[in-house]
Amino acid sequence: MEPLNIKSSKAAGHSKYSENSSRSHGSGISISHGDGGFKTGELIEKTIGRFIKNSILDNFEDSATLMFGKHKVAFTTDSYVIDPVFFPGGDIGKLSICGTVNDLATAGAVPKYLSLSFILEEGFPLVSLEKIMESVRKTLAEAGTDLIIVTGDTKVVNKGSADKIYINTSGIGIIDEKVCLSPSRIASGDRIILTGSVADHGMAVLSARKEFDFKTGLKSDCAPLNKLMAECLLCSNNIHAARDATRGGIARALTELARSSGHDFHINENSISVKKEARALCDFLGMDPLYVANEGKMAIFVSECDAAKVLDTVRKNKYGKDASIIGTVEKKGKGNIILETGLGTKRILDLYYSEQLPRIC
Amino acid sequence: MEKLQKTLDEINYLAANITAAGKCKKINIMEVCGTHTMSIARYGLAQLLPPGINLISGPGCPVCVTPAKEIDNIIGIIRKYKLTVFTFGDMIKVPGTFSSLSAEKMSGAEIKICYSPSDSVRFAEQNPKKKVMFVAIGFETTIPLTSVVIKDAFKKRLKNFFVFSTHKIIPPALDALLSDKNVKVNGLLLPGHVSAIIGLEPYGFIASKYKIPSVISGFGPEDILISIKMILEQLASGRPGIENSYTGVVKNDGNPYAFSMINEVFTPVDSEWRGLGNIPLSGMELKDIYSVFNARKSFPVKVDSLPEPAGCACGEILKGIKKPTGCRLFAVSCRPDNPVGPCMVSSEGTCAAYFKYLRRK
Amino acid sequence: MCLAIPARVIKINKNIAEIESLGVKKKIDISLLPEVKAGDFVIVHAGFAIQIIDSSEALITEGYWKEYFAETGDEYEEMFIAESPEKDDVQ
Repeated sequence: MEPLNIKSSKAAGHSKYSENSSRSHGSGISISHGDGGFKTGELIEKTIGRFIKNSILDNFEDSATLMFGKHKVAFTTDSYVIDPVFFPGGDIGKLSICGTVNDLATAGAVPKYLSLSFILEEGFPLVSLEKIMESVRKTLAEAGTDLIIVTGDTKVVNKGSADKIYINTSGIGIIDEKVCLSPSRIASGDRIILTGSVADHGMAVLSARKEFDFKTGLKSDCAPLNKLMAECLLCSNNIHAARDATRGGIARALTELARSSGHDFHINENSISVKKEARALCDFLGMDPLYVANEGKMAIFVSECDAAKVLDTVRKNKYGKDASIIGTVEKKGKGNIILETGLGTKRILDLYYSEQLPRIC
Repeated sequence: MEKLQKTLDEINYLAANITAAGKCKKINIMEVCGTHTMSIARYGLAQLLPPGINLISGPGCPVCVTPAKEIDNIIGIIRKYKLTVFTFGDMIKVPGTFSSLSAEKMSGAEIKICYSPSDSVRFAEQNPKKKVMFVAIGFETTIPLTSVVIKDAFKKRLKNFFVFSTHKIIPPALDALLSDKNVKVNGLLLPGHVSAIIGLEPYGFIASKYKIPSVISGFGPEDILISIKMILEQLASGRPGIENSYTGVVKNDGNPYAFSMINEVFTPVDSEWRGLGNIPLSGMELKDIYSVFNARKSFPVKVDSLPEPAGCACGEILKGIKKPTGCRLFAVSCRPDNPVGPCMVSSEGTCAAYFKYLRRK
Repeated sequence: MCLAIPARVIKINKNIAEIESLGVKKKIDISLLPEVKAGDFVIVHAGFAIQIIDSSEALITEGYWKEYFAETGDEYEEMFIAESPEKDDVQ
């Protein structure tokens, strides 16, 4: 999901101004609940999670790992709302397949079956829907010939009750019995591999928005990473965990894993690459690339002994050409990310507490 | 890193001599530019400096110095009149005493974030039936932009475009700050881009009246360190002056044309600064000839502000008297996801920068 | 305050210039710099050029912003000839 939504949504449905009473500035859902930062976590934990607690959900992973007899299965779901629907490097169709495939991949699963559901706004052009379905078809084919959509749903709502098109995909994948990827397996000394440059997707999408009027060759990095992951798992038994860096950026992915694993991470800021155009766009708008959304990048945690080998494998894959080792797992601590700058100074990389807004100051 | 090390060595040498000579125990260097605050925090520059140097963040963030009552006024206008409001992203989350622009947006107010003031006047031209209000905020870097946009609206005889000016200018605030006996500053880092407009001359009083060294600085780590070195050199020699290390961008006379645009459209008025109180002739209001665009005149409103939250130390923090950790609300009830004062709301406010970059758990 | 970044002026049409920073192009207002010309480097703040940069200054071209002043060559031209994003019919 694109964290930045600076347009008043047509679907807001509010027509009255609020009463002059509350200092807490509203008790409804705010846009920052969807930015992948602290507020999202708070919403999930305090408003949603407390009604449906169980030991599987408590793991708080992108995919749930389930046992069916001897078989290990990963199950995941995600919803896609993005503006604009067609952006440089992809569209909502491609995104909806990649996002779910990647969540399965980070669990070490081979994606097998997907569901595909739509909520369509009245008036959404059929021609656009066909283009989106063509993207879905192409992305499925790229992810693997035996990956199929087996069920789905379509709903249509009145004009103004949704913003063009929303998609939900859920996915099931099979995890080999020898594979176990989990934050609990992250160990001191593990190396952290990042599969490529950050901020491509978020900034490509933003640059496509009419109100900003940027012209750039920057494309979204939206890509299915299941084959990359499978290649890594084939070359090493010492991969402990993986997480794809989506909304909230690489900062969110690393923060979640640091907290889940209970380990501090030491990250080298200079080793995180940012494409020139992404840097310029971030500089124009005053945003921090570490918190900008990606849709085709993964952080992989691997034992030191296999790090070079896995890095090599990642780099051989077309989606991992710019991969690098960005840091090391330290001993058990508070789950802090200690970022070392190019000057050798250190700071804590925190989960971004609020949606990043374009700024001038 | 070598060049940096050379500058650091010189800083260490100068600082040691200054403190040994008893000129001052601690050398307090204040910056008054939010982008400097962010840069210093982001690169951990304080970690590179000797313990004798204390970096203080002053009132450099236009959002932070906007009084809560001013936000209340803007919200009062929005609630009473049907307007399309444009402002910079920086303003959206600033808390007034009972609401914020972000909360009003949630409740249905048409509030749009723009990257440039030009966006607002273009929208007004394209939507003649809508009344458009641009909430103008910023110091001298930004005021000329609002001037251009107002002159453009004047030329086009737009009837539906209005500006709510919360613009402020830096030199009177510096004068008020330095005359405060509680504020102990030994050197000033001056804002690079404000200076690109106003040049060196308006800062003359810093040396002549207060005998305090000051250096106009760029924003990279080297720029800031070189500027600190230059401040120390002035301190050591006992010859305070206004120096410029950002010569690539700041000319001695600034940008006289842009400076003249400020004076063509705006006139200085007394203005309230959060934390500093009322400062004479430090705010900018539209001149009478442009009063047809003045939102304050066209949209009169009476707003009952609530008392400001107790315990908020933004005022003292803006003067550099306290650090964020000296405020009892910091990181407890005042956090980026639930800010009390603007120092936390603005991404370059002292507290936000501190929270994001410098906090040690 | 004053978030601003360097950009190269590519072409000018009255008070609007097309600028380029690290391969990102944008139209900005140059009303505040009547003397600016194509090929100049400027500082851009909130959609306006506010000053011409003296790119002989080492702190500018070899410091924090050195990427912005590196030789651009033909790589950026190729970037703009490349396939443009699909148009969203609904926009």
